[in-house]
Amino acid sequence: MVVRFRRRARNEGRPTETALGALAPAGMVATVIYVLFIGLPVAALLVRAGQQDGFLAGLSGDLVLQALRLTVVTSVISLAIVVLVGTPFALLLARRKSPALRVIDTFVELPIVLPPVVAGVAMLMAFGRNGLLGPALSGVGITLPFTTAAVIFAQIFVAAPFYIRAARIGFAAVDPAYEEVSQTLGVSPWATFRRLTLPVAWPSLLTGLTLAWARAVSEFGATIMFAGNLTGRTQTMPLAIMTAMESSLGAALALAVLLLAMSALALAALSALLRRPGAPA
Amino acid sequence: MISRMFSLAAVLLVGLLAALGCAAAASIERNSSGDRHGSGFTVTVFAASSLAESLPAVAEAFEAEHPDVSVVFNFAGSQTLRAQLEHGAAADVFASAHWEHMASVKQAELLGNTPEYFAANRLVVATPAESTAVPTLEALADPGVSIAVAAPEAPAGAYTRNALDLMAASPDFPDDFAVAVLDNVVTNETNVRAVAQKVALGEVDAGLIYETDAAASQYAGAFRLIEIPLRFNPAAQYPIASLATAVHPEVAQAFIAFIQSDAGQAVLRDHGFAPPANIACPCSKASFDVGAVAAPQP
Repeated sequence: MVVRFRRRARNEGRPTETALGALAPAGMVATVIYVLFIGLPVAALLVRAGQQDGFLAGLSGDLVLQALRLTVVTSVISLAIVVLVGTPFALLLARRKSPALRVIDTFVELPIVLPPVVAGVAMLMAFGRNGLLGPALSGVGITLPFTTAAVIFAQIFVAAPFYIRAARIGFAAVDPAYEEVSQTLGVSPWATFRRLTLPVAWPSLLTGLTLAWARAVSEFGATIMFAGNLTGRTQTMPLAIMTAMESSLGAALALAVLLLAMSALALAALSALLRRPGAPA
Repeated sequence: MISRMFSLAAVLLVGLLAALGCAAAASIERNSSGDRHGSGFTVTVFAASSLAESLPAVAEAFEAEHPDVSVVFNFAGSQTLRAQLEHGAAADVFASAHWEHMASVKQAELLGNTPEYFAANRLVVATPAESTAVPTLEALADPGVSIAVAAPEAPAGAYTRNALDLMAASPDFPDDFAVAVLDNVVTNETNVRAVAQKVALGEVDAGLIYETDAAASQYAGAFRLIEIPLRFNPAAQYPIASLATAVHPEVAQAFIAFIQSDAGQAVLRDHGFAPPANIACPCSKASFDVGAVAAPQP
């Protein structure tokens, strides 16, 4: 998914018409069908939200504000941890080859294909009070399930692979020969990473970061299993939507529109940043 | 010419595939709806999760008497089922654990007949069998205790908050009892079985569930129970009704009648349910207010 996304960004403005030929009409019909299939529900959500009594009240309601705050705070913390741990990990995966690393490389993506609710059950079995590590954790006074920390655990579990995968691909695209040249010229390893490796891998990192954040924000199954559902403490926006669907449609629509806006904004910011020439640092 | 025909064929293929996808999905749905008798009837029952063992047992007895009928279930919190019905889910029978959700479905003009109570239940405090953190009702308010309850929208959650308020109002408990207990709540589950599961796993110190949940076979030996005195524990009355969307209303009605018959009631009693109170369900109460059920917890 990441790969395809990157390639499209690079090839922009270079349409490959020749390959289409006679398939073009089918392509157009398929495009119309697909755009309607995705676009109609999104449009319907916005239209319905506009008509709904209590939509604006919902936007500023306690349930919505607490869920929004919790979601933003937890997803930012999760993302920070994912970047701190995931970046050196991805760099190692991209540079070193060993049988052990190859096995790890394969299983890094397991959480992407694993149903999130399975992740939730698994974490309960590992970190729950009666889980494998439960007694050890409670021995040092730590209880994880049904806490905000559990929300962050769930988000990291499901979101980290999206960043690590993209970062590994980005780092692998940087020719190690350049890094060697840079270091023989007397540039320190850290400066080489900052001025050479990071700028070249930047689009990949950014794409991975956005996907990981979006996945963390939308996390539901593992959270409700491992962190429970408590307003202000563990009830993130997806959980709040489910709760609100059963009591106040206005609040549910408010949350849904907010999440939609956040996702659209993230996509727009990503494509704007990717298009901007130059790199950071 | 050939290229145009090819284009047309490709366009048709896209359309065909889309149609095929829909048809295949519809066929899967038909086959999975339990219509295993070919020409027989299927009754789809939306039922509160606390009925997860008892109603299938009743249905088994019903199917034995009516070989051409098969009963299929969708179990969830009554408020979830209500939301599904109000958003267009098709079903034949709705069995709720609280009259308010039945009233809401009635107000949406989705009922096929007048709801009647068919069973009653009571709350009980369950703790993990080996846990000593909550030895008494009073201990629910102890600082540091972790409690799982059903969400206020769910019937069990509404009954739980009602029971806590009754305790707080009595001289036997401190005035802030309900607040202190709700402060100890670590999760508001969407149905009562999710509460039972969290207690059975030992992940919380206590949970408020129905007596029938505690008696369910899969939790045998998992709980230690603390009774809630009857004066704080008004019975949960379960209403049932057929739905306006019922494909065969007479079959739906026959199943409801069977549940209310001596044979059906005997099965429910075996699963720990009490007979329903001999009162009318206030399901057509005009002043019904969803907001009152859904009030955010303090």
